[in-house]
Amino acid sequence: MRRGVLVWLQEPEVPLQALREAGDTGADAVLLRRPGASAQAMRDGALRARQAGLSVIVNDRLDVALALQVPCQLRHDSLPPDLARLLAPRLPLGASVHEADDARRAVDAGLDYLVFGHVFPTASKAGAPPRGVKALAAVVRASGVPVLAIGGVTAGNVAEVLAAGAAGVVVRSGIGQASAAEDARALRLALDAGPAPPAVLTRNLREVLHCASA
Amino acid sequence: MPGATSLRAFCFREGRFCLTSLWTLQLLVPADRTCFPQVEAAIRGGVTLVQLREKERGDGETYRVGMELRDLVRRAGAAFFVNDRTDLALALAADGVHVGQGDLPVDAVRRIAPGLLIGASSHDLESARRVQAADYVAFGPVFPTPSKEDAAAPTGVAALRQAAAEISRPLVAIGGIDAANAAQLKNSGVAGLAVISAILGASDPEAAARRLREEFLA
Repeated sequence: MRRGVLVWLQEPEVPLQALREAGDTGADAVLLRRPGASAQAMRDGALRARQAGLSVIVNDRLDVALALQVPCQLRHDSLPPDLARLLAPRLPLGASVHEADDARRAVDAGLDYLVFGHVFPTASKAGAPPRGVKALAAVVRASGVPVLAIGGVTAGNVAEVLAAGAAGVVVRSGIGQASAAEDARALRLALDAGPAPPAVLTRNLREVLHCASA
Repeated sequence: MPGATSLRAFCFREGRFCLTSLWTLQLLVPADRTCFPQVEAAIRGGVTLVQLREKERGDGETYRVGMELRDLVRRAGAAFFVNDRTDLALALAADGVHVGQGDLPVDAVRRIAPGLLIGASSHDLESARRVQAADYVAFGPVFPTPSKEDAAAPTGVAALRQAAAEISRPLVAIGGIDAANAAQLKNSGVAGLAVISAILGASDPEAAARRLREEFLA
């Protein structure tokens, strides 16, 4: 049985085949993100992800999320969370946050889930110190909504973020590259074998993201 | 502005759009406060519609500057549109949104924002036909333009005339329009002009706007 939620971070241009492969290796949802991507590119990517049987989260572009009725994940410089909530009262909304204050603001605005990171050192954030598992646990305690961990999470350390109370993880998928599928399967196994996140939160998150509760 | 109703609702009477002068002279501006005095002057000179077109800044910043711009534009008496982003247009309670190639399709925008007026870009007759569900159709670049690096080859005035005759929506000419060539668009069948540098690049934006109107309408 699947426990933690596994979200793949992908550019919207990701081909259908790679999305199918991500689904096969145990991804629950795909988060489409590329700064500057056009609405059309986002929309096309979301439609391909649906075709591959994956739930879709659109990063930043609330207009695309509204048009497709899929969840939207706000970033630091997106529309303010309270305004996004007002514009999309029934859409699942998340926010990426970096500290407990941001987390509280997002939850007060009525957002459904949070993404916190980067938890571990990661090449994409070289130079910026990782925020660590303790800070993750603090955000989990402060928020009361499901929190996904992002940044340097692997099969080797995923147990730590689960122990901190994360409902799942967001990872940049190397799908399409050599050995990526193997890494992905290992992560899925570790997510299912690690400490169980609070069942109520993962269930809630799966509902929010329209993930299959397999 | 009509109290609680939208400009779109206000403009339609018995299914007909009754405020065609809204399209006469459109100015596209970035989310940059230093442009505000020019925008105010341009509206005094006869700009009827200001479109916020921001491609660089983040949404949060665009939203904050956009609110100030919207208030300024409304106070000065013009309509306020947002380029590309229907979510920002809704957040800013704009009068309309303008979508181009690569943005959400017109029918999707209509579904999520039924209260907004919608403009859509086209570059030839074929693409203009495809966006006739919009409230106005922008057509261009009519002339060579320095404002848009990835702009297509100029359509010329003849293609513009043909499109204006065939398209069921008001056509707005865009691309490389200035006081020197605006007269060529007179009686071409288009409802109006859209410019950037002809006004924002002028030392006297008010006079530049007035001159454009005179050349086009006189």
